[in-house]
Amino acid sequence: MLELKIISQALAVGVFIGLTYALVTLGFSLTFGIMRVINFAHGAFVMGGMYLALKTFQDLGMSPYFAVIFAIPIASAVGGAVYRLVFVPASGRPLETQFILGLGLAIFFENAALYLFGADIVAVNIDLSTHRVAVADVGISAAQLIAGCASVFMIAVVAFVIYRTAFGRQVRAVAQDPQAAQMCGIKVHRVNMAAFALGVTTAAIGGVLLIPFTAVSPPIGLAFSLKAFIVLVVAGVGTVPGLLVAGLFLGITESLTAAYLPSAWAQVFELVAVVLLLIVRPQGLFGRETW
Amino acid sequence: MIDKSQAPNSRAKWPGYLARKWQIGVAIFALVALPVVPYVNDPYWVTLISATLMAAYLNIVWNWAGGFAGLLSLGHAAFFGIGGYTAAVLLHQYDVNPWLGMVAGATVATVSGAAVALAAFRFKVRGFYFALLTFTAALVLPAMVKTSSFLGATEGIFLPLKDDVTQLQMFDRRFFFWTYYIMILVALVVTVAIDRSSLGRQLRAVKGDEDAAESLGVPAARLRVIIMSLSAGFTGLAGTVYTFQTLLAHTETTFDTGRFFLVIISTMIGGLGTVAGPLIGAFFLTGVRELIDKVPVSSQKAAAVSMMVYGLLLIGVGIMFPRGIVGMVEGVGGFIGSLPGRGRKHTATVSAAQYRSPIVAESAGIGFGRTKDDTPELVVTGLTKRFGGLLAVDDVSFKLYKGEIVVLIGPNGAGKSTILEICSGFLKPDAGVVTFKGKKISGQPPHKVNRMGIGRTFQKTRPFENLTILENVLVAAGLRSANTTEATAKAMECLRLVGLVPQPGPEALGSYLSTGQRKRLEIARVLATDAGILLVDEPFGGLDERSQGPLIDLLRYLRHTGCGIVLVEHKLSVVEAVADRVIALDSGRVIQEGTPQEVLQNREVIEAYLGGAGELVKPAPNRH
Repeated sequence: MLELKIISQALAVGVFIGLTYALVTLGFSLTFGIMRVINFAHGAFVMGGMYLALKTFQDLGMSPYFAVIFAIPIASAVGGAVYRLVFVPASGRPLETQFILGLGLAIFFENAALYLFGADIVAVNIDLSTHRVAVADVGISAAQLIAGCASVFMIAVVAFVIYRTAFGRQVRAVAQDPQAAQMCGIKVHRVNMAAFALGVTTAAIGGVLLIPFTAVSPPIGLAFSLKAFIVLVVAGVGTVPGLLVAGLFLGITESLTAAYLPSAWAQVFELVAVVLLLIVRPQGLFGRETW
Repeated sequence: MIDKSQAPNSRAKWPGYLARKWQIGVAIFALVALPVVPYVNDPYWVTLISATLMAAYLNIVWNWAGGFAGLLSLGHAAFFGIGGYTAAVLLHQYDVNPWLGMVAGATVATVSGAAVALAAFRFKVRGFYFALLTFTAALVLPAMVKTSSFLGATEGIFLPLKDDVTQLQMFDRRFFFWTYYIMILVALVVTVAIDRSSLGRQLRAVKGDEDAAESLGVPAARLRVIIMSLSAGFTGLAGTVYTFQTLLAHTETTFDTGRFFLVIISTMIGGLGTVAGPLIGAFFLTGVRELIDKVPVSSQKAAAVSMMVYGLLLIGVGIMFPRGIVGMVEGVGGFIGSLPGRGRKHTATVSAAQYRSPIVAESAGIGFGRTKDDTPELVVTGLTKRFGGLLAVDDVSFKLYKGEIVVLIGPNGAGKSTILEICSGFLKPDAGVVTFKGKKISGQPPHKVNRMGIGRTFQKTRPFENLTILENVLVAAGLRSANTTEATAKAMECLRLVGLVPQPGPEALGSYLSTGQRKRLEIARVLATDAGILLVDEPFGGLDERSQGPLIDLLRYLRHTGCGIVLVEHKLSVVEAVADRVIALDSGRVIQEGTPQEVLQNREVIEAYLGGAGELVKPAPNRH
C-alpha cells in the first residue's frame, strides 16, 4: 500500500508540475513552428523569470508572484530585442546557424546570471510552498496547484490568441508561408517579433510560477531549453493537446524518478524516451507541420 | 585542366584552392612557431599553451563531423569520456600499460562513434535531432558511470603518479605540450587529406544536399558513419591523454559537456568547415580569455564574463561571418583581389539564350537512336504506390530502350514524378518491380540505383550551393575516376557539353547560377555519373523560348550517344520535338501510349488535360 501511495503522490505532483512545463515550453514550439528557429536561449527566459521572482521576494519583500508585473514588460522587451538583433539578421541562414546563435545567447544569459546572482542554488520558501492541499492521502503543495492551474489558463489564452484572433491568423499565415503572407500585406518581421516576445514572456511567467517549489541556479536555463526541445519532439509542432501531454510526460517522469532514484536519472529517462520516440515517430506524437 | 584564366563571375571571392592554400600556410606557421613555447622558462605559459593545443586538437577533429559533414554533434564529450575511462579502467583494474590503453580508448571511442552514427542514419535522425541524440549520449553515459563502483562511481578513478614516459606521464610539463603538439600535427594532416580528397568534396555535397548527393551515387550514410567514427576515435584519444595528464577519470571532468560547448564556439569563431579555422579559433579564444583575466574581478566573475564574451562573439560571428575568422580574411582577400589593376576580370555572364553548345551542329537531323533488335533496358512492371488513401501510381508498366526518349505526360497529380522517384530509388513501390538490364532496382537506395547506371535530375533544381560548378560535377565524376586529373577532365567535358564552360566558368559558385544554368548544371552532374538512363523531371520548366532550343539539342544528342531518357514534360512543343514515344497518365494510370501524334490526338488524353474541349495539337503533316 505504501508503494501505491508513493506512486499516486508522485503522479499528482507530476501532473501539476507537468502542466507548468507545458507553459514554459510553449514559446519554444511557437517560435520553431512559426519562424523555424530553434531558440536554445528559451530556457534562459524561464531562469530569468525565476530570478525576478527570487529578487522580488528577497529584496522587495513581496510575494514572488508579484514578479509577474515585472516579468511581462522585461521579457517582452528583451525577447523583442533578441529577435530584432539576432534572429532578423540571421533569417534566411541555414538552420544550423540559427541553432548556434541560440546556443550563443543561452551561454550569454547563463553567464550573465552567474555574474549577477552567483552560482548558488537558491530556493524560495513561502507559506504556499509548504501548505498542503490533499485529497484523501494524496496531496500537493498549494504553490504547485496554483502553478498548474495558472499554466492551463495561460495556455488557453495563448491558444485563443493564435486560433481565434486576427493577430493569430497573421501568425499562422506567416508560419505557413512567410513570403505569401508578406504579399498579403502582413509585416512578417513584426508578427514574428510579437510571437517571439509572446513566447518568451510566457516562459518568464512560467518561471515565476515555478520558483516557490523549484530551486534556481544559472544552468537551469539550458536544462529548460532541453525540456522544451523534448516537448517539441514529443508533441510535434502546433498542437495544444500534444503540448499538454508532453509536459505531463516530463512532469510525471521527473516526479516518479525522484521517488526512487537520484534526480539526474529523470533527464536520462526523458532523453532516452525521446530518442526512442524519434526513432519510432519522427514527426512527434501529434505532429503537424506548422501552427 | 582547369582553365585558370577564367575569372569567377560571382561575387568577389577567392577560388577554393587558393583559399585553402593560405589556411595551410597559417597552420604551418603556427606549428613552426609553437615549439618556441617549451623553451620559455615559464610553467604558466607552457600549461596555458598545452591546454590551448588540446582545445585546438578537439576543435580540429570535431570539425570533421560538425564542419565537413554538417553533423552538429553535442555528444563528443561522451567519446572523450569513453576514451579516458577505457584507459583509466584498463590501468586501474587490469594494469594495462597506458600507451596500450590509449589505443584501446581510441578504438572503443571509434566504435561508439560508428554506433551512434549508424543508429542515427538507420532511423533518419538528422539536424537538431542528431544534436539531441548525441547530447543524450553525453548525458546518459556519465549518469550510468556514477552508478558503477567498477568505474569508480561518483568518486572517480585516481591514477598513480609516476615520472615515466612508458606510463604516458612525466613531471616535466613539456611532455604533454609535445604530446598534444604531435596529435595536432597528425590531425591537421588528416584534415588537409580529407579536404583535398574526393571524400571531402563528397562530404560537403552531402552536407549541402543529401538527396542530390545520393542521386549522384554518393553513399551518404556510409560517409557520415566513417567521418563520425574517425572524429569520435580521435576525440577518445585526447580523452586518454587528458586522463593521464590529470591522473583522474571523473564524471564531472572527463565527461564535461562544457568543454565541447567551447569546442563548438571556438570552431564557429575560427571558421566552421575550414582547414585552419578550428586552430585559429582555439588560440583566439585563449587570447580573449587572457585579456579578460587582466580585469581585476574574482575568478568566478572573470569566468562568467569570459563566457558572456564568448557567447556574444559567437552571435556576432554567426551573424556577420558564417565562415568565421577564415571567412573574414577571405572577404578581405577577395576585396583586394577585386581592386582595379589586379588582373582579376569580372566578365558578365553570357545569357542562356546566347549560348550555343558544341553539339548543335552534330545534332542537327539526328533522329531515333534506337535500333530494332535492342532489348529493353529499363522495364517497369505493375508499379503501384499509395500515399495514405491516395493511389498515386496505379499498376503502371512501360519499357525504355537504349537511345530512346520516352516522355511521360499528364495533368498535375497524374503520378509522373512519383514514377521517377521510384525508378531512382527515392521512393519504394508498394507493388511492382523496376529492372534495369535485368537487375532489380526498385527498393534499392538512391546511391546504389545511380551506381547501377540510372541518373536523375530534380524538378526543383538542387545544385550544391557551397561548391563551385566544377566541384559540383566532380562529386559525381570523382566517384568514377582513378584520380583527380581524370575526374577533372571528365567534369570539364560534361560542363562543356551543357555549355557552362567557358561561361560562367568552372569556378563560379553553385548558388549564383540562373535558373537555366542550374538546370544545365544538373544535367552535367548526372552525365558525369556515366548513367545509361536519364530520368529528367521537367527540365524545361521556367526556361524561356530561346533557352529551350539548346536543351532540345542536348537531349537529342544524348539519345544519339545511346542514352535512354525518361522525360517528364508539360510543354507540348517540346514533347513533339524530342519524344520517340509518349505515355499519357491520369490519376496514376497509363491511359495511352504511342507516338506523339497518336497520343496527343487521343480523346481520353485531351479530356484528361483539357476536360474534353479543344485539341492539344493540330493534326500535323508527318514531321519526320
